[in-house]
Amino acid sequence: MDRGQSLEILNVAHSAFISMDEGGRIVYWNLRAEELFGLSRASALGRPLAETVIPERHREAHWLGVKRFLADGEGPILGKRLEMSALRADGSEFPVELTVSALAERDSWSFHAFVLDISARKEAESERDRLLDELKLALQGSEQRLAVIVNALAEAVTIRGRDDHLIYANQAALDRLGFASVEELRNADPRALMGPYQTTGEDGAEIRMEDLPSVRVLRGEDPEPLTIRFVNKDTGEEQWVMLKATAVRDANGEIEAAVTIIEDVTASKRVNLQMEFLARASRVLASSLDYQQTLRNVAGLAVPQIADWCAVDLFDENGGRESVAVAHIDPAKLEMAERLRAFEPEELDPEQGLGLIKRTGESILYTEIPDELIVEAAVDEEHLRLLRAVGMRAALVVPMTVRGRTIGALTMVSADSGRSFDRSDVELAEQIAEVAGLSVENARLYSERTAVARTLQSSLLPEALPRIPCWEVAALYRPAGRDSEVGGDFYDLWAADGDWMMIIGDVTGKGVAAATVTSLVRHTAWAAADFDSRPTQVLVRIDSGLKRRPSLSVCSALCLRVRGERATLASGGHPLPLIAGPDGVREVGRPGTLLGAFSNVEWPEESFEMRPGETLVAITDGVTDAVGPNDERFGMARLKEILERTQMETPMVIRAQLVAALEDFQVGPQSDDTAVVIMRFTGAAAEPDRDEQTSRARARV
Amino acid sequence: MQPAPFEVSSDKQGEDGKLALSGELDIASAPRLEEAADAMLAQPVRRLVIDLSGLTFIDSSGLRLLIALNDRANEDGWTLALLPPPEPSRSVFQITGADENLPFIDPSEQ
Repeated sequence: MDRGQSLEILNVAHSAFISMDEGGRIVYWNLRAEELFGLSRASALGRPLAETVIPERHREAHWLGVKRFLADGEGPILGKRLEMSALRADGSEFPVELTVSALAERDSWSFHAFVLDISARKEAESERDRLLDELKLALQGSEQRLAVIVNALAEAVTIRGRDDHLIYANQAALDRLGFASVEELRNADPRALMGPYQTTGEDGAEIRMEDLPSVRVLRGEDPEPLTIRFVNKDTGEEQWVMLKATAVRDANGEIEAAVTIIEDVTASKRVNLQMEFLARASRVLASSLDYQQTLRNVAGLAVPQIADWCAVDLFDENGGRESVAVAHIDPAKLEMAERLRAFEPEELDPEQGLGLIKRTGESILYTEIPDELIVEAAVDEEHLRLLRAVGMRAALVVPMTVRGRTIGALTMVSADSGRSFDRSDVELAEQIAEVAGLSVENARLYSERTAVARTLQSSLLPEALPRIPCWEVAALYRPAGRDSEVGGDFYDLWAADGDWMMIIGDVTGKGVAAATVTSLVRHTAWAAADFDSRPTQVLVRIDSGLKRRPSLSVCSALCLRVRGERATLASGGHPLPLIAGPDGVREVGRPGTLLGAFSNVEWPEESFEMRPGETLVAITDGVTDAVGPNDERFGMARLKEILERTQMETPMVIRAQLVAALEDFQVGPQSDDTAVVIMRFTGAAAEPDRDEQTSRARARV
Repeated sequence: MQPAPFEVSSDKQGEDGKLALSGELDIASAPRLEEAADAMLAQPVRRLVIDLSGLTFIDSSGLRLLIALNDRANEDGWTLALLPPPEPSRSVFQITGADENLPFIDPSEQ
């Protein structure tokens, strides 16, 4: 995922969002981060993140964590919600909650965090703990004092007696539970209190009365605070509450009652879900460039936390739609959902449903789905039966928009969970749809770019190497880590007037611009060699060809001419080749000026004779510059060592050994293109067959 | 992998702008040198001195940027001066003929 894509995802984040590169520098800082840390984006960008937002005492741990992740890929804190202290620009500290994710971006990692200020929550928590302590004291004192303190608590408070009945509730709790007085509450059956709600935990599992912290306290346990989702069975209204219970003991130390503080955490729960979702969505996006898979993953993420059922459709230019993903909370219902969708017309009706969304680009929200609506929507009896069986409670449909064009829609349905949807759900769904839309667009662009790059690259290398009499040849081309860009390395072998020519080079730059230069260099080399095959003359012509281009076009190249055992070479700023034989490995040739770059030029030519069994190896700097452990480069010494070890072998074997050594050595993605040409002189043979030679030479690209 | 971090520090003295580089100048870090040079050249500077003595590595993209800056200097009428890099980055300048074509100065001349 490139920077532009990340930024677009972040624009939809309502939380503070900051990103850091591998070197620990801040590379993204959104508007909310400016507010939260009191630091403008302009001042924040480029600054070391640790020194900007992390209190000094935590910095070392931060660095160790980053180092460990980069070294071993271990990131125990990634994707989890963490609470910690953060630093404002004015030096003050405040508590935050954050979710960190790591993304592989091109050939390095970047780290991203959503940050939420939880000062208010922390203050409320400590105030509540203080009151709770007082409350425990008061319970041993007068009833009057107790009432004063309990009513001072903003949250609902209940007290459960030993027989599991609620014996006290403050006003907030009475309102929440729907009782007029404490008297009425005392007489109610405690089991009936949960009756009007569907109660589930954060993991989606049902919560029973036995699971409530106050009930567990009465059994002598010491339960953790419990977060429960209440969905009103009548209205579909959803609420998240956190229950925290403490024991009240009598003079003998026996548990007498349990005090429960009920805190409404619906708002923060929603923000958290949103943060978690966006953090996970970023990872899902980065994980696959197959957009259908990505959309299935996105749909899967929405279920069950946000909806019971999520579907993604893409629109085509002919007014049709393609259903690409359906996720359902219950796998058994998935089949039903798919059958249901089969009833929807392939041709979209611009006046309703998906067709309407496509036309207007506006979200649609059904907070309730009355039976009349279902009857109206059903196309026949079977459809109606299915629709009713699904038991839809609420639904929303939001557009997937890319650069102002609606390319599809995301549908979410609430059924079994019984909850309704509101505006905040539509907003979240819109954010999800935006991420999903980007993933489709990125996947499409990426696959186009990859296809173009492959075609272009293959046009810049010979389709097959010619067979040169008395020589065995092998070549290697490894493009850098990402396959969507054309590399700048090239090589070629061809016949020119009875001689054999080899050129290997490296055009600085990447992509189409570099490909254009590469193409120019190869064509110039062919034409030059037909006219005068001396390597220096070939380089002279490439140099002047490059200098005629309007923008700086620089290339290094090594040109070699062989005629039987006799070889002549010249280098235009290119690493010199090595010759490996029984006597060891030596460098041949003399340095010459980089091509297309300078006015003061010199390309000294060197001629030498190859002995049978000697192998000439020409490389580009991608070989020697490959990065291994501890930032070490592969270097010339390693290359020489391999050639010494393999000098008796054929070029094919040498190539395989070199590739294996590079792969063993290399850490992280390959950062530069790599090209190698290996030519072994097998010894003078019979007079070469000229006709065959020429015809093969023409077989090149 | 954590590559040796590339750093550019800028310093302006009179009409001399100076950029001191350290770490690896390659395809990833070259844009940062270009930005720093652009920022320096946006000010009234007659000579841009780039100190390469802290370079641990330079690749063809880094070299190309230095060549491009030298071309710009010739066209726009300011002077580029380079302080030589240490071995082994120096060999890149030697094998490409850049040592004879780019305006290297002796460290004592600055």
